[in-house]
Order: sequence, then C-alpha cells, then structure tokens
Amino acid sequence: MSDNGYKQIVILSGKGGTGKTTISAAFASFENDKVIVDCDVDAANMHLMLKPKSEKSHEFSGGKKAAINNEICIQCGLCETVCRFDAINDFKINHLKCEGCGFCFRVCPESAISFTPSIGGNYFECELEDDSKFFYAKLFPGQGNSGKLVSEIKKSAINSIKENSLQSSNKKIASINNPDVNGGKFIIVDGPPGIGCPVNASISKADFAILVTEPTLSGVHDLKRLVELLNTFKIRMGIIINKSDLNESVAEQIKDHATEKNIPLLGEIPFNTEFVKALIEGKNIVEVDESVKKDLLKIWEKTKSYIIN
Amino acid sequence: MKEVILSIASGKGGTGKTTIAASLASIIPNSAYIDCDVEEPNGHLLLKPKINTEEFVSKLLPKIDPYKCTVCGKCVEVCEFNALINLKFEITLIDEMCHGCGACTYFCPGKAITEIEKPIGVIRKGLTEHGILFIDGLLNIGEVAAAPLIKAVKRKIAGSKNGQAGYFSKGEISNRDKTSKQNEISISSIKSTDDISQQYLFEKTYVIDSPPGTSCSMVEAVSDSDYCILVTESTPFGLNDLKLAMEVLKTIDIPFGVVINKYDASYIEMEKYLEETKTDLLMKIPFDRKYAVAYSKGILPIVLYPELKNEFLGLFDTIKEKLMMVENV
Ligand code: SF4
Ligand code: SF4
Ligand code: SF4
Ligand code: SF4
Repeated sequence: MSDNGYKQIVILSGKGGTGKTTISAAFASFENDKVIVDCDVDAANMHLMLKPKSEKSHEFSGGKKAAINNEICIQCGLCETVCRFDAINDFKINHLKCEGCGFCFRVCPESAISFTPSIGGNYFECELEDDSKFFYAKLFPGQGNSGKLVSEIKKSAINSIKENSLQSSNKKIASINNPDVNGGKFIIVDGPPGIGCPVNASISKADFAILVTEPTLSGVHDLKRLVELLNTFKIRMGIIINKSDLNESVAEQIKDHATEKNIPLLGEIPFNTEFVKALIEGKNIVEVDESVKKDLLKIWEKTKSYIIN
Repeated sequence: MKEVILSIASGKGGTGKTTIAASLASIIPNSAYIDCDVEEPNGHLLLKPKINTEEFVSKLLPKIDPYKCTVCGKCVEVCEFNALINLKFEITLIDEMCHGCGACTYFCPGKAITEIEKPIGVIRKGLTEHGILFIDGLLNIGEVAAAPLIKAVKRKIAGSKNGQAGYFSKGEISNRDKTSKQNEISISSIKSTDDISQQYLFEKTYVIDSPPGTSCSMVEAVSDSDYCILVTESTPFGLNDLKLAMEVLKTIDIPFGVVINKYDASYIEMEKYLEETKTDLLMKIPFDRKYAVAYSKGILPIVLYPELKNEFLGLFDTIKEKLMMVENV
C-alpha cells in the first residue's frame, strides 16, 4: 500500500546494536524523494545523526491517568481492589503503573478519583539539510502507548507527503551523496527494537522490511522471531548481515534460515570500526568511509529491485 | 540483608546488557538470573540452563454471552481502549486492543460477561550447569503487551514486593525435576567452588535482565529493584539513551550506577556527563573484538578471559557496597 507512489520501507533488527540506524540513515542519503521516520520512540537516536535544520514540536496525548483526591476519599479500598495493574497502594495512584483504564474512577462511590488526559510525549516534524522531511518522537519515560505514538508519527509523515504533493513542490532536491541514483519515492522507517506493540505499529502498511542482523546466537534467535512476526503480517522482507565476519558459522546459519524461509539476502557488511567512529563524530557512515558507502549502495540497489517487484 | 534484586537495564538495545547480567549472575554466589526481556530473551543462549518447568501465562479477555446481552452499550461506554464495538445487534471485542482491565465485566448490568484466559507467553524455569537459578519469559509472537508477562515473571521471585505467588526455591526445583539428584549435585558444588572466595553477603541475589528502552516494560522490569546497573556504550546514541533511562530511575526512585561497555576513550562526553550529574561510574569495559566473537558463539567472555572476570568480581564488590549503603539509609 503506497501513498502517492511512496513505498514504505521499514528497517528492523530485533535487538539493538546491530547498526540498524546507521544503515537506515545511509540508505536515506541515497534517495532524493523521501520521508524519514524514526519509530524508536522509546530511545530515538536518528536525529543525532541527521541533525535536522529545523523542527516543529507537537504534543502527543498518551491517554488518561487517574488520581485520588485524598480530601474526599473515605478509604473504602474499592479502587485498590478493582485495579488490575497494581497501580493503587495506600490510596495513592502510581502514575507509572496506571494503565488509564478508568475502572477506579468509575467505581469510586465518593467520586474521589479524577481521570484526565495526560501528555504522553512529543513528536517532531523536521526538515533536513536537503529539504526532505524527517519525523521522530520522544515518549515520556515509563509511558505505555508507544504503539499509538508510532502510528501517530507515521500518520503525520504520510500526511506531510499528501500536503507536499498538493503544493507540487518546487524544492531544490539535490542529494550530495549520490546525484545519479535512479529515482523512486520512499518512506524510510527506522523501526523500534523487539517484537511488541511499537513494532507492530511500525510495520503496519509497510511495503517491505529490511532485517538487519548480526552473526551472533542471539542475533539469529531474534531474527527468527521477527521473521515469524512479519510472516503473520504477510510483509515481504530481506536480510542484511552486519558484522558478517564476526562469526562465519553463525552467518551461515542465518543464510540457511533465509534460504529455508525464502527470504533474499540483500547483502553482508564485514565488521568495521568505522561504524562506531562515524557515530562518535555524529556523521553519516557514507561520509566517512568510501568502501562502506559502495557496499551499502549496492545493497540498497538490490533492495530496491526487490521492493519494486 | 536477606535477598536483593539487582536489575540490569539499558536505554538502548545492543549495549551488552545481557552479557553483563549473565556474567554477574555467574560470579555472584547464590544468584538467580531472571530474563525480563520477554520480547527477545537471550540470556538462555549464554547461560544454557536446563529448563525443567514451563508455565503458560495468560491474560483475561471478556467473553460476552449473546443470550444474556441486551446490547445496552454499558460495556462499550466503560472501555477506555475502544476494544468493544457496538454493532447494534451485538457487541464485538477486538482482542488486540483489550488491556484486560475487567471494567466491562464489572459494570455489565446483565452479568453477560465472563472472562476467559488467552495465552500470551510462557515462563521457563531451570538451572544452569553451575547451579544458577534461571527464569525467563518468552512473549508469544503477535502478542503486543509485554508488561503483563514481565509482571508474571517477576512474581516468581520469592520475597519480591509484588509476589504473593513467590514460591520459587532451589528445593522446589529439585523436587519437581525428575533428575533432581543431578541438580542437587550442581547446587552443592557451587558452594565449594573456590574461585568464589567472596563472603556470602546475601542469601539470594536476583539479577534481572530488563528489556531495553524506557517504556512501561522497562519500568515493570526494574521496579522493586534494590539497585540498577545501567549499561551504555561510548557513542552519542548511548549517551542520549542513558539520559532517558536515568530519568526513569530517578522518577521511580531506584539507586543506580553506570557501566560503560565498548568503552572508547575518544568519546569524552560520556564521562563528562556522568561527572556533571555525579553519577557513579561502576566499570568500563574496553571494546575488544574477541569479546564480541565469544558472545557470537554464545560464550560468556568472562569464561574465556580471566582479566575480564576479575573486573566483574570488582564490580560485584562495588555493588555490594552500594547495596549496603542503600540498606543503611
Ligand atoms: S485507571 Fe485503571 S490502572 Fe489506573 S489506577 Fe485506576 S484502575 Fe488502576
Ligand atoms: S474507591 Fe474512592 S473512596 Fe474508596 S478508597 Fe478509592 S478513592 Fe477512596
Ligand atoms: S454491558 Fe453487558 S448487557 Fe450491556 S451491551 Fe455490554 S455485555 Fe451486553
Ligand atoms: S477488559 Fe477492559 S479493556 Fe478489555 S474490553 Fe473490557 S473494558 Fe475494555
């Protein structure tokens, strides 16, 4: 399902630390017509690398929270009994544990409990150096609702495309990194870790998923779970093995799994300390290392051939 | 102090949190390793426990009896999560949206709702070769809410503040296990293991491996800990995520210190920040490819590299001091 011809590509890795964000940023730099969305709302990082030139902040309403007015409360204890999330103790509500179900508020015989919307975080609509749009979000610590926030930033990313195409823009699209890459329109989504609710939200409506993994036993373990998840959503995918020479035999296991599941291997990237160096310098890997750039470009072209088919 | 809960968390994934948690569990006498990273539990790959019990965990979902339901709409009104939809002739539930709060069942005037169990994951329990208690949770694929499973995993911790159901003990494991003899041997052997010359300070140390991030799952995993170790790495990403995790721990009032993994001296901002915020820096583990290779094979680096093991013994000493301080406050 694409919006105005934009293909949605989500980059996932199961666990963190596989170089997913670095690779997402590199791929994004190869394209001119794109929107980038960082869906790791728990620990957004991509903005540190992309360094947007401007950003507009929006509030995200995370749902309601209950609070007890202790002047009215007669300490009957009913609220504590009904709350299934252990959020009420000694006639006080622990905000971090409160799921916002409203059960206590409805059950209190004295109407001593208030139940009001709370702000769950912020999301940011940014513009990058090359005038393309970038979205990221920050969930307030300890909040639930990360799936909802992911859906919300994806929605605003898609809306921005619609607005933009209405104005049929005259922007100065120019990619510094690769002016002659053949065009396409992409929504590049840097996905959250895990397989839980924010991941589900990030892969909804995706055209293709890129799974970045590393040859470690835990990498394989996480990869298999992700593949299973994506299969239940019927989303097409491909695999990139990062740090591929760290453990050749585990890398083979990954390839075997890919073959067995009929998933294309998009490429392998040998272990390279430049990844960390680029991070520390706050740069895109493609600006730091020519050979990595070449490898990544090849992988991206291959990925695109799968996306388009 | 009888029992302590030590949690290992990280704002960002992939910092080496599991390796550090598993290493600590291996060197701390009388420890248990509890993997609360239920979306991607990896600790079993390093500790290789022998699993002897598996227990399914479910959540409660409302089930509406169409014969009793008058389609009055009360349940739809009380559901904060829009999980119930009024189709005029019946009420339907969207499983994925339901948080299992129980409000609809309680408020239904016709008592038309009962609650049924839906499996969300499994808790596995076992012992490692060296007699470390092992517990982890594995979330079913497609299940969105990790926090309830984490809560169930934590209930297995005896003496934990949440846990009336905390009944888990070594004795029980061996009773349940058909090959109990073997386990008893490994339990007694750990007591005589002489490379642990540390004095027994705590009757039991629960090492909790928390999910990465700062969301509700992480809060669920680290809450009730006596101390939390935040693992980070020497990059701007690591620092950014560390700050978020520190904020959470301050809010829920859990004392903590920081371990910098993949330490890179050229990234000075990290230590500058720790100094400025007067945060305890517990340990620095330099980046070394051989550690990464050991990990890739599912081997704890401390098993192969004694110098690293010494560092961890030192870390445990530091943490013991911190815990005593916490205790005395
Ligand atoms: S709103 Fe729900 S979760 Fe929050 S305190 Fe009340 S009953 Fe508990
Ligand atoms: S139900 Fe209301 S009156 Fe009763 S303890 Fe709770 S807040 Fe107080
Ligand atoms: S509250 Fe009970 S009777 Fe009313 S619509 Fe819901 S299930 Fe039916
Ligand atoms: S249990 Fe709570 S969340 Fe689930 S349908 Fe009923 S009211 Fe809604």
